[in-house]
This record gives sequence, C-alpha cells and structure tokens, in this order.
Amino acid sequence: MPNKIRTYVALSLTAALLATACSGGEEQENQSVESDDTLNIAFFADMATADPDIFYDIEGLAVMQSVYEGLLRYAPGGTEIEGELAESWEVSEDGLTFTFTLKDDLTYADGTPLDSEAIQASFERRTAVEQGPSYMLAGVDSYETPDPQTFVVNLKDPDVAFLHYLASAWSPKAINPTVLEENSADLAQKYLDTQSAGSGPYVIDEFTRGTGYTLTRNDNYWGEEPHFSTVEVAITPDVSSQILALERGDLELIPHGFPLANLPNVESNDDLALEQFPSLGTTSLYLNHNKESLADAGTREALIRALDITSLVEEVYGETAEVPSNAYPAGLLDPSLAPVDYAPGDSSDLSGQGITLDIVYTPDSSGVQRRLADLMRQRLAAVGVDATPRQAQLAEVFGYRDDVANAADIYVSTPAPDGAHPDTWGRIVWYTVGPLNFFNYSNPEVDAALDRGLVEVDPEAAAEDYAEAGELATADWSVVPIAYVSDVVVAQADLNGVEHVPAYPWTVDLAALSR
Amino acid sequence: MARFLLVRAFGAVGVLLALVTVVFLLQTAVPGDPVRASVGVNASDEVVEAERERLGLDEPLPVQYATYLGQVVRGGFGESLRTGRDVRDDIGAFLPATLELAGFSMLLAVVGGLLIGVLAVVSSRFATPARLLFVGGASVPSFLLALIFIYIFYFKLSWLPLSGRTSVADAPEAPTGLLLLDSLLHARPDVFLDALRHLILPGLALALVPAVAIGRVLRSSLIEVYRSDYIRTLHAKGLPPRSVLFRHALRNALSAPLTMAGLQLGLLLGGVVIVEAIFAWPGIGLYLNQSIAFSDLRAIAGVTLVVGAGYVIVNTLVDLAQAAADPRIRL
Repeated sequence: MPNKIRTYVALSLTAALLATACSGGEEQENQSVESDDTLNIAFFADMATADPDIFYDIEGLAVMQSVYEGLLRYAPGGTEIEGELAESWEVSEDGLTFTFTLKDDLTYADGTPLDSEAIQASFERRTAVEQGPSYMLAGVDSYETPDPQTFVVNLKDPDVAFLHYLASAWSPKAINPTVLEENSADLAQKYLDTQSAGSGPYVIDEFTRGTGYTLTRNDNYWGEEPHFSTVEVAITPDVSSQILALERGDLELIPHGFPLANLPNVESNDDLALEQFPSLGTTSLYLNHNKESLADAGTREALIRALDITSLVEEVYGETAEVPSNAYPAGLLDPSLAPVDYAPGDSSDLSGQGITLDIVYTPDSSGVQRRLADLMRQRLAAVGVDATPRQAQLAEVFGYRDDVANAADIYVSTPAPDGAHPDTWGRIVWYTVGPLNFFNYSNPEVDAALDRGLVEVDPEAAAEDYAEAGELATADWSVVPIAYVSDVVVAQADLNGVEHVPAYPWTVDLAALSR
Repeated sequence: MARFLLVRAFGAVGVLLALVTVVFLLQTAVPGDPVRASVGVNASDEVVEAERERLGLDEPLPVQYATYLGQVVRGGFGESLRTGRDVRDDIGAFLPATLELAGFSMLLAVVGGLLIGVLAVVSSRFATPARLLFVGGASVPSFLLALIFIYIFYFKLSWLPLSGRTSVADAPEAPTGLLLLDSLLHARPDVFLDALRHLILPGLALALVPAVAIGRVLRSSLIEVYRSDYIRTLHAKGLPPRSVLFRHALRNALSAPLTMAGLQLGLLLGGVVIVEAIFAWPGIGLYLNQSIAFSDLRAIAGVTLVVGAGYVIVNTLVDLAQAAADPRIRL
C-alpha cells in the first residue's frame, strides 16, 4: 500500500474513533435529559427471580412491590396496617377466621378481573411452590370464596401475627389466574421467573440478568396512575459508580448502601437530598454462649457493657441509628415494655480471663458492619479482651447452627423481621428453632411466652407475653440488639414523593415518586 | 502438529478433570449452609431439607461427585442456588459479554504492547517515557485505572458512558451474543458505535497492564535480536531499518511476547471480575461476583471450569502462533 494511502487510512480511523467518543458525549448529555418520564435507579445485585412466591430477598423489593399487590400493606412511615387489595377485613373472636372484602373494580395488568377466586389461587400457589415465604401460610386450614369480593381464610390455630404476614413485603401476592392456568405444568415458575402477572402500577417489560430491568406503567391499573411511565433499573454493583451516576444526574436515587462517610458531601450538594427513614433493621450482636469463654451470662453482660454501646453506635452510625429502647425492633412493642439498659459497667474482671474472640460480620456495601466490628475490637482490647474481626459470607453464618462449637464467638448482623409484629422478631431470633437463632440459644421460658403470645387474641395480654419473652431473652445476653438503623435514601433534590415503610427495607414506593 | 494437538487435548482433559475435582472438593469443604442462605432466612426447616434433597445435596459425597462429574461431562454444571437455573445456561448468557470485553482488551493490549515495545527500541525520544510507562503501568491495578477512567472520561468530560454494554434499547442480542459483531450482522452502525463506546473504558482498564507487560518483554527481546550477527549483516547490506525491523527482527523477537500475551490473558480474566463489577458489565465476572456473595458454589465452580478451559485453549493457540512466527520452534 502506498504511504499516502496508509496515512489517509490511519487518519480516517483516528478521526472515526474521536468522532465516536465526542458524539457519545453529546448523546450522553441528551440521555440525561432524555425523558422526564423515566425514572433511573440502580440495584447492587440481580434479583434472583421475579416470582413472588420464591422471591425472598431485599434487593429487588422495589420491583416486586411495584408489579404485585397483596391484600394488605403497611401505611407509609409506620406500622399501621391498611388495605391494599382489601377494602376491609374482619377477624373472628376466636382469632381463627379472617374475612376480607376486596375493593371494587380490581383488575390485573392485562385486564383480567381480580376477584376472590384469583386470590385463593394465588395463596394456594404459594403453598404449592413451597419456597422461603411459604411459611406465612403454613397455619392455614382452608379458604372460602362466598362471592367474588369476599375472601375468607380459616386458620388451624390462632395466629396474632397473621395480618402482619399479609402486610409483609413478602406477603402472598395476587397473581393473574390466566397466567397460572396457561402455565400450570410448572406452577408458572418459568414464566414468572422473569415476567410479571400482577395488578400493581407497573409491569415488567424487560428482565435481563446482569444488566437490568425495565418497568412500564400498567395502563389498566385500578389505582392512581404513577408519574413515571418507565422505570429503568440498572445493575450496578459498585457503590462508587452509583454515586458518580447520581451526582451526574444519570440516577434518580440510591435507596440503600450509601457509605455513611460520604453523607457530608450530600448535605453540601444542593442538587441532592438526603432522607432518613426509620426501619425495622436492628443491628444485633449474637454471642455464642456455647463457647467456654462466653458460657457465663455475667461475662457476656460485662463484654456488652465494656463496649459502651451508646457511644459505639454514635461513632459508627452518627445520626442514622439510635440505641434500642427495648428488646424488639423499633415500633413493634411499647417502648416501656422489655426495656434494655447498656450503661457502661465495671469490666475489670474481663482483663484477667485471657479471653480471645473472633467477631464475624457479613459484608454490606456501606461498610458499616466492618467499622462496627473494628471498633468493637479496639474497645475490647482496652479491657484486656483480644478480639479479631473477620468477614464471612452469609452461607457460612447459616451453617453455624449445625456446628456451634466451631462457629464464631460473636456475630454482628442487622436482621429485619418480615412484619411489624413482635412475634416476627422473637420467633426468629430467640425461639429455640428460630431461623436467625444462629448459636442455638434456647430458653424454654422464652419459647413458652412467645407461644402464649401467638395465640392470645387479647392484644394487651399478648403484649405482656411478648414483653416477658423480651425481658427473659435480654437477661440472657445472648442476642443483644444494639442499634435501630435508619434507611438512608439519597435522591435528586427535585424528586418528590419519596415514601418509605419501616417494614419494607431498602425500598421506596416507585409509584409515589414524581418530579 | 497433529501429535502436538492430540497431546495437548489429553493434557487439557487431565487439567480439567483435576480442576473439576478441586472445585468439587472446595464446594464440600467450604463451611456453611448455602441452601439455607438461598431459600431465605425464615424458610422452614422442611423447606430447606426439601430443597437440599431436590438439589441432591443430601447424598453421600462420592455420589455427589459422580453426579457432578456426569453433569460436567454432559456440559452442565448443576442448578444455581441463586438464579435457580442451570449454571450452563447462566454462563451461556453472560459469557459473550466477557468474551467481547476480553477480546477487545487483548486486542488493545497486543497492539499497545507491540507499539510500546517497538517504539522503546527504535525511537530514542520514546525511550524515557517507555521506561516510566513500564514501571508505572505495571504497578497500577486495573480497578484503580477503572475508577480513574470513570472519573475523567465519564464524570468530568462526559465523553464515555459509565456502565453496561449499550444504551440502545433494541440492540440485537443474537446470533453470537457479541454485540459488535451482531450489530454489524444486523447492519446497525448506531449499535456498533454505541457498543464500542461502552467497551472503551473497561477495555482500557483491563488492557493497560498486559500491554505494558507485553511491551516490556518485546523490548528486551528486540534488543537481543538487534545485537545478533544477522541483523548487523542486514544493516551492513544497506537494508532499510524499517525492513530490518518488520521483516526480520520483529518476527524473531515475537516468541517471548506471545508467551507473555497468553499468560496475560489468564491474568486479564482474573481482573475481569473486578472491572466488570465496577462497570456493571454483564459478563461472567459480574456473574461470579454475585455468586460469591451468595456462596453459590455451583455457579462459582462452573465459571472456574469455563475460565480454566479457556486458559488451556488460549495457551495452545499461543504455542501454535509461536511456531508460526518462529520456524525454529517445532511442535
């Protein structure tokens, strides 16, 4: 090839590459103002599935809440239950029969009427699919549908938490019976893995694992039309990338995982707004009483008091958390019942015991649990206790129950109950076979109090039972709640209607947002 | 040649069998209960046990190993705990993005490495900058480069996009899954340019370190070749320097850089895990990243095996390329 031609070719290629980059710049500018009608948010990780009877995660709740609806929900900002698909409901005096009256003119996204039979089919599917959230309906004896707007649930035994399960973020959702019938061979599991069949304000238009999801407005929605016609969810695992995208205006909000150290930058940025909402997330210290060094409740108490919980929480969380008032997550039980007291005490006995501990925490994008474990190490060192923080994956922690003798000494975790009822907490963290009872804590009196509370239809008497369970568990110093953690949402300043429910972690109501 | 390929094929099977065994043993040795983690915190014990049974995790270890080996031989890796799908299908969905990124990065690395290596030898003006690049480039990790590139080219200059493979909603996804290729096959220059723009930052972040390594080895190799008698003879006979370089010296100096390129591809695949997470690039690095967080050992094992197989294949190709470049090498 002659030299001149080679030079021209090289110049042309260079020019084309430069043009690619520069034209992209203009295009990118255009994308930022592309459409006032599109809401851009990001998830740190993929949703495992979009099937409402299998989905049992936190990341992705905003999508599930936008495309599916249940009978009940919690009102924004609190723990009061209100109707979602149900207009009203009644509970029989014996606490066994729940009668729901559906709202008028309910429809699914494809226009199929949403009636009591459709609700029954959805509830039955949850039990048949038999995945994580199926436990919520384990106590159901039978269903009745006396007319299209009346749905009756009969329980085998009273369950005072049942309404809260129906208001939970992972509650049984109404699934389009047409889809269930057309895909009955596998209970529509393949279909619902990546597609929606709900009655919510949005439908899943596109579900691409690893890339993101597109939600579009449900044109047949029976309720108020959402402001944004499209919601684009991008999978962006790196929090730094999310922050840069937010600051550039390519993201509307970061609903969780914002590093606390970066919050001052948000407060000084006029284009961004910081909102803090109470949640049921409660940072707790699990102390492995099966280990010799932690077998004595007095030693466990001395360790907790040596940490100076109040200043520890303030140092780690700043204003985004507070020290618990009682043994339950915020708002589950009257704060005056089952109170906790973590006042620093005499820890001099600890120094001579040669205690060595490993403190395990699970990773979180904000890094707050690592910081907490590090500070605990420092404070314990000051009283002669040699502690070593270590990060572990969730699967390791779930294996502790099978081998408590070789499990960690202390586990730092921030669990949140499925509903805003004390039973949803006590039964998972204190009950002898509770799923979040990592070190097999067992106190028969606690179990008995929880069991009494569950079937006690008188609310005041039930509260006393739960208070007793909380007091007994607190006195054992095995599971120690140390912080009521807020959900911190960072959003564009012009984004309005950021609504949050304490029992729906890391989630804002996408349909309520506007600009 | 045929014998070489046969030996290599047997060797590859041995390596992969060893890898399958190690990966399986790691799955069983890792403490914890991934099934409980996958079905959710509040799932009843009955649900957990039913899931364990369904996945065959309640069987004795030898039975599990035989089952796993059978699945791998048939091209499957079992069901992912996180997605509930066959890991083979998941990898099939995520792999093209990684192949495209890795291929683009290697192209940049090889071209860049050749350029740096040659310029460092033939241009006295470039010698000092090249030395700085060799020291600096080798010591900057790819994740840091990624963050620096994002800050400059996305955040400050708005020249290039932050994440993903494309911004075009109706970009073609078939037949190859390689967006650049598919866009050309569908005559979509808009998608091609957009995909190219999305590739530049992650591609550069991954390519710089291998480029420097290739360039450094090429420079040493070229210097050695230039000292040889036949090069001096060629110069003495009056052959133009450009002909000496491209027709004679470079060809004989390529063996070591090619070996280095093969090694660098392995390292590059390791860097993909972090770079894909930073750029939200939907490849197997991102898939692996999410699977690790979930202790989804079958997915981790599947990716490990696929990457291992890729590494074996690439190194075989490198050997072939070396033989083609240097007639003294006999296979």
